[in-house]
Amino acid sequence: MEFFIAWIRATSLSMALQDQAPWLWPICETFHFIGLTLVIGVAGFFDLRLLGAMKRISFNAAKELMPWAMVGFSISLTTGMIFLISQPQEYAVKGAWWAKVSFLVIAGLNVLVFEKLLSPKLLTLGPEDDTPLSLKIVGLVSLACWFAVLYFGRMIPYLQPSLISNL
Amino acid sequence: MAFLEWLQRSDLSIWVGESPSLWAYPTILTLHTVGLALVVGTNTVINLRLLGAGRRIPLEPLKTLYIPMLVGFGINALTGVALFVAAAEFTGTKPIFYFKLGFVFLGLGTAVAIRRAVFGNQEALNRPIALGTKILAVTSLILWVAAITAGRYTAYIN
Repeated sequence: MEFFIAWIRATSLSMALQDQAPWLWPICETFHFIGLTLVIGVAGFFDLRLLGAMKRISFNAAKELMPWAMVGFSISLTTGMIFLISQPQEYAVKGAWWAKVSFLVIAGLNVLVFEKLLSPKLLTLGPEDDTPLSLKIVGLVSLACWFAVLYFGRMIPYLQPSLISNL
Repeated sequence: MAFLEWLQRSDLSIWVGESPSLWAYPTILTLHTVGLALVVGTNTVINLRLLGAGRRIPLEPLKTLYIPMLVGFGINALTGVALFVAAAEFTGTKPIFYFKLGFVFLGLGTAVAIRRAVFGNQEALNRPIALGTKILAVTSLILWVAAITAGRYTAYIN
């Protein structure tokens, strides 16, 4: 891991980002938060519908907002990559960061299960229809994952510094 | 300022700011981010819909989103006071922090105005969205971006 971090830090991209850190860092943090509010706002809205709230909204209508969650995710992913490439030693050795990445992966797999296996069920659901248990579970897993991503992301500087430093 | 100094020396300030416990500063700061996500996230969904995204989403059920918005506001009022008290002499003397507060209160004002204009009466829910409402929605989005920006820069600008 230490070798990997040293290698990233020595790349010209990482060194360029490190040089620009004084102005780049707060701007990227700001955008990282803006992306987060779009993801949690829009995906959270869809999750609440999956859980059975706002039943008068059909799924075909609700999913029209989803591109905005993708916009938010792209903003946060881009700025997150800038943090990682610029200062890998602040992230890649920290348990909290790995927990965050794990929940991102679970959230992604959850979307995959939803798209591939469950979304055909949605087409038969109209307004006012309750959602089956499988969709409620998908909604709950999604909500839990995004808040876990937020929690472990914000706690990176504070949680036990290096749970896996000997990797 | 004597008041900021008094706050800074309070028991709450010392616990939040100096306790090594994860439950003190780190958890309160993280809860403040959770509240931010709830308040700005729900406002953003409503604003996007008012501006024409997801046109087929009926407006009336979106009223439900004011519940997580209110929960987020409650969390952030409490955690915001705690975070301010923990660093009263640092934060309280920064103009950028008062800009942030201003943006937050104006943002909350637009949320209340939108609730009254759109969700307050059945007629408005059935009519096409008025230009004034769209202007409120754009203003709201700008104010929340400004509040997040000023909040983040409070940590950087002296």
